[in-house]
Amino acid sequence: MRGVGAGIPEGRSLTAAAGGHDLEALFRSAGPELWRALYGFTGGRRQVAEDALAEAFARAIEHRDSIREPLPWIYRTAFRLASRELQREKRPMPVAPDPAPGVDPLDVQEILVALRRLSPRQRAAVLLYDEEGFTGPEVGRLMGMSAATVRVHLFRGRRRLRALLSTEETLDE
Amino acid sequence: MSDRYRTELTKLRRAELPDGLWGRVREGPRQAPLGPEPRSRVTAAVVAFAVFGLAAILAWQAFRPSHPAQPAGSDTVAVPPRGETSAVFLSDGRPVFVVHHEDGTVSVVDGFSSHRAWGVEELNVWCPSSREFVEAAHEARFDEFGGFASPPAPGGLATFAFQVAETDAAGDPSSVVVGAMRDGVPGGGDSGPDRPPFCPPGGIVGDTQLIEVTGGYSGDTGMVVGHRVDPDRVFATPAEVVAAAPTGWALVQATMRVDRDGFVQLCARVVDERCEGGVVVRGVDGIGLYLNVTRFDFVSGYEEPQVWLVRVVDGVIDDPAGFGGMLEPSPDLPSGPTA
Repeated sequence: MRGVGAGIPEGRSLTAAAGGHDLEALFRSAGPELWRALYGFTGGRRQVAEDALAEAFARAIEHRDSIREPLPWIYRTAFRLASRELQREKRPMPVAPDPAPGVDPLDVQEILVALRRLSPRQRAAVLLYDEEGFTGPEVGRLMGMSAATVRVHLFRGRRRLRALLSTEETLDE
Repeated sequence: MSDRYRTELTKLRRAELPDGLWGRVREGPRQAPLGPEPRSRVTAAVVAFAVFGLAAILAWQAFRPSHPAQPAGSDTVAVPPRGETSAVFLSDGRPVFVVHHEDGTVSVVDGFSSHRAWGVEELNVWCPSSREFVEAAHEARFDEFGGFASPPAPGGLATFAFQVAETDAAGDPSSVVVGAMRDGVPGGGDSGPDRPPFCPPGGIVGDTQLIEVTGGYSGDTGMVVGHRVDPDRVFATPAEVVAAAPTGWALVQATMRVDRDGFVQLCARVVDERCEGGVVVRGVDGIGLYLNVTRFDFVSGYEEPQVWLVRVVDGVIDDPAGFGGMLEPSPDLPSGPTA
């Protein structure tokens, strides 16, 4: 696992200007991480995650001249789109996650079901900080929160995840 | 096994970006824009009128005491052992703390902070180790008598007059009858040096069951004395609590929605940035809240689903105070009180 708070990996910049910026290159470098975060954020709803990612980049291209920091803008937009789509759905979410390239749905079902039970901000904080390796201030910039707010939701999200996975483990035994 | 979640999370790392997504990007946006739809002139005029009206209400609110004095009540509450503090609700649902000081004297201190962020009530907790009240959301501090200790707060906490009803064998008060509320002593501040840790471990707690609370400013976690919510007393939706029109303070599960024009509601739920089952909230500076908080946050702490302590007056909700920092909202809350 990457070190927590390891910072922005090479090639990932939160401040690159969008005007005249190569958003396709940004898609290639940052898209995989955003996709993973969205797949987790949606609890394994592949279509919702794909739509949110593609839509966010499409809108970034459309508004490229007015976006100063494309990556935070794209992250915020993608997470808001995904969140909106999940709220719209009236039907109960299926237990099994959708298959996605590279992962066995059964292998990730437990963590995805647990993630669904967190609030949206808790999910985002845990996935971006613990899994994607962003620092607290970076997560704050990506999601439009203060660093202190990120810490609060990270703490609550971790606590909830630990409790959920611990309970399920006990029940399994 | 406490970090098992980390191991499970790493499994997500194998997920690969599906093929063909860039082609989809190049096709352009497909979904409806986020945020409010463009307004017509009529709508804009209505909004402008509403904003003007809200400004007038806020101006009036500015001249109204935030905690109007109440007549003497007849609540008899138990006094904890010497050195301890208990969190209780008065019969009208107002949260208060009963402090039994180490010298044997007693104080009854308001559970609401004197600091109201854009008019939203904020709840205090008691930190046993520092023997202070701390506003959970912004971490203003008050001494054990309710006096101002550190910002952000305009002054001390409101306190209550009381009469001793019973004493124990040692002559210490064991119960008191709570009377009229008195405004806190003015004199505070909005900012200051770095705030101390939220609530370090330690202090006298006796039999009191502590609750784990995360400070909204520092993000630190502490074990504190706070008001516990009885799920059986929580109304399921804002509409239900308004229909019941309870006297005094009531608990309701809701999500706050702050529109960009400053219109504030408590909603049964928020879907697609729209408030469903909403009830108008009065006394909150929605424009300030929007401009300073909610427009920046992905989902701000104010907008997170939680249990709110509210008053219902004239069919609208007054003075909401969120329990977000003290009570993890349960998706399985019961349908609410029948009374």
